[in-house]
Amino acid sequence: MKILIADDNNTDRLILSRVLENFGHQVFQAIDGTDAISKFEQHAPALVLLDVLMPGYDGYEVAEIIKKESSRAWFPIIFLTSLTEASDLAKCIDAGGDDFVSKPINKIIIKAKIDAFERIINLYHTVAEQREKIQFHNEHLIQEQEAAKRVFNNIAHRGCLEANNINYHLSPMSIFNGDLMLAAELPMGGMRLMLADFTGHGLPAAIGALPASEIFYGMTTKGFSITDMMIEMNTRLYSVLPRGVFCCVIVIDIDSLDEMLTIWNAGAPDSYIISQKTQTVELIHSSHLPLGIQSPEKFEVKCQSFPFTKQHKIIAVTDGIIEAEDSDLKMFGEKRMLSCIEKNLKSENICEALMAEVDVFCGTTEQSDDLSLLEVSFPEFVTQDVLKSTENKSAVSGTSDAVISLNLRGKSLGNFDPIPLFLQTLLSCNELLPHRARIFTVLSELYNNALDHGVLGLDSAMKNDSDGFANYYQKRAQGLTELDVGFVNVSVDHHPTATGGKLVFDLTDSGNGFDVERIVKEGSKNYSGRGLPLLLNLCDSIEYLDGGKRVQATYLWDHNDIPE
Amino acid sequence: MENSLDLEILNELVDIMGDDMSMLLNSYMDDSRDKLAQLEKMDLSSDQESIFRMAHSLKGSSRNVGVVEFSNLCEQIELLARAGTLTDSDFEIVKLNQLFEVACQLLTKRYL
Repeated sequence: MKILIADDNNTDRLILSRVLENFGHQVFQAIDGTDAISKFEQHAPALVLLDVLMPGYDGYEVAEIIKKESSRAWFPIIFLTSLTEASDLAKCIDAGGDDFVSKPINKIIIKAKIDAFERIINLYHTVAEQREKIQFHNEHLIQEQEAAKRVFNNIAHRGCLEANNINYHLSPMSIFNGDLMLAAELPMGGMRLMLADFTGHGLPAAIGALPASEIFYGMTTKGFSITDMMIEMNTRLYSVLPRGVFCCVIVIDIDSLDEMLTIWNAGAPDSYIISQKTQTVELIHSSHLPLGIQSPEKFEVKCQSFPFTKQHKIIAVTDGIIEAEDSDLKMFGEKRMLSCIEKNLKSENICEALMAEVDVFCGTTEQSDDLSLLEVSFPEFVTQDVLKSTENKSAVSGTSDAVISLNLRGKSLGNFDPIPLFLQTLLSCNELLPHRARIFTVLSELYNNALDHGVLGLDSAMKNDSDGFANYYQKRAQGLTELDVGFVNVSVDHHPTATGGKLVFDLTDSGNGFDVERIVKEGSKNYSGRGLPLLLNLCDSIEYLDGGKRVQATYLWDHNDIPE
Repeated sequence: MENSLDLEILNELVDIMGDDMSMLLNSYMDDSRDKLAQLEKMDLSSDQESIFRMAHSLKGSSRNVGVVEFSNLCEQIELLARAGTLTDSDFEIVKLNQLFEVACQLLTKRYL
């Protein structure tokens, strides 16, 4: 080890130097304070021995100067002193010294002290090396996380979460804490929302967000139902998530045409449907295990439907809010949550009011989980942004001249939703992309009419009050499971015209038909479920045949007339 | 005479210094002779601080090379000067010189 000895007393210095050299150290000698400072800079010793009393700069001053001016890693200074008073010895440490040795120097003591400091110096070096390594790894990790965040943000983007019928609270790093909030417009207007909470934190929890988001946006745009989407999501998460990681989820469809909300809660805390008209709150309990636990064979989605109008709001939360703790580790709890909601029923922004209540409740207690809260009111009838198809503007592509038909019988009517299939096949003709929302609306209205009112014989007048509403969907679900006979034939004929194309939707069902003339005359009032006014508005013609058992709707489109 | 040197210290010093023993002793004797000369010139009434430092320095290096009797007298003077109570009768320059020269003769005879 390189050691600097500064002592103006030649005898003392010569002896000490030789002692240390005999112990195997490399010794530099300085004859006074000034010499000590310049030798220190010149040789960068690992340890410095300073005599206290020296002409020029004394030991204290030298210590202060070299400690202050040195940018080097830590090095110890040991004072050599024949002073014995406690205050003199204390001054050695105050001046930046690390230890002192009394003169005359005892060979054994000086060796022991230098050995001890050598160990500390080695420790410092090890720590410095490790710190450098850790710093390097840390920077690397941060870079990777930034990159990962960009990928995540591209895939698990927030969709239309900024729409003005939505208030939400979500922390910016929530994705890495396993909370996911997604919103997308439905092809026929309205919105689909999903609030997901993966168990655990960090990367394992975040990994599930990728497939979940992809499936959410992919299948929502293609018009798949909640049921189909959740089956797909569960299947994927079941196969990719590590053991012990699963996903509590609330998924909500708001159909702004039928003024209806469909919800499925799997493992999340209660959701709250608020009616501002009746000042009541309805709780939607979890009805299923979280995603990623049950094998695809055992997985089953049973949604609940509720009327949902401009008078309604829905609030969904993750357990971070329910489990938020105050300083006594008492939880916010579902009871307090409900009473807070009831207190703020009339509030424009219930989300903000609730977050304020949670803040007050928690005080300064650090929260361990993410707090996610979603408040949605009725979306105005908005259709998706028109997909600008800049490619193939003139050349008509895909299924521009084709008939697609499908006959569904018996159980298949309950098990299979043909709308996404038709939509995807039709949209392989790029020119139809701007018409996606309209085509979806026409097709799903016609198909649901055929199934609900035709095959199942349900009367949509039932839906006029809220009890009847639930009753209607219960009967529908029951009807579908019990269905053995019955059919719906769907056929879509697409042929090109001089300026665009013509789509003819032709649906026949096994129902009893209906009094076409009367319904058409009465308009939407008594048979609103048929959505006739809307269909008439979107299509060029609608014709009921065979006493209402068959319907033909014609939709004309034009290259030069892109719908907004 | 027999109290002038501590032979135990000196024997250990031979072990430590090896071939450099003569260099060390020469250096000690030259330095100390200089310091002693400086000390002699110091003014008892106005410069007790300088006397204290010089005596302190002489004491330290002398003890290291086993020159104990001289070292002990240096220490007496050091302590009094430090307290500012050194008097003419205690400032025994003649005796200091005498003890130093005896020690030097012995050192030279034994080790040089």
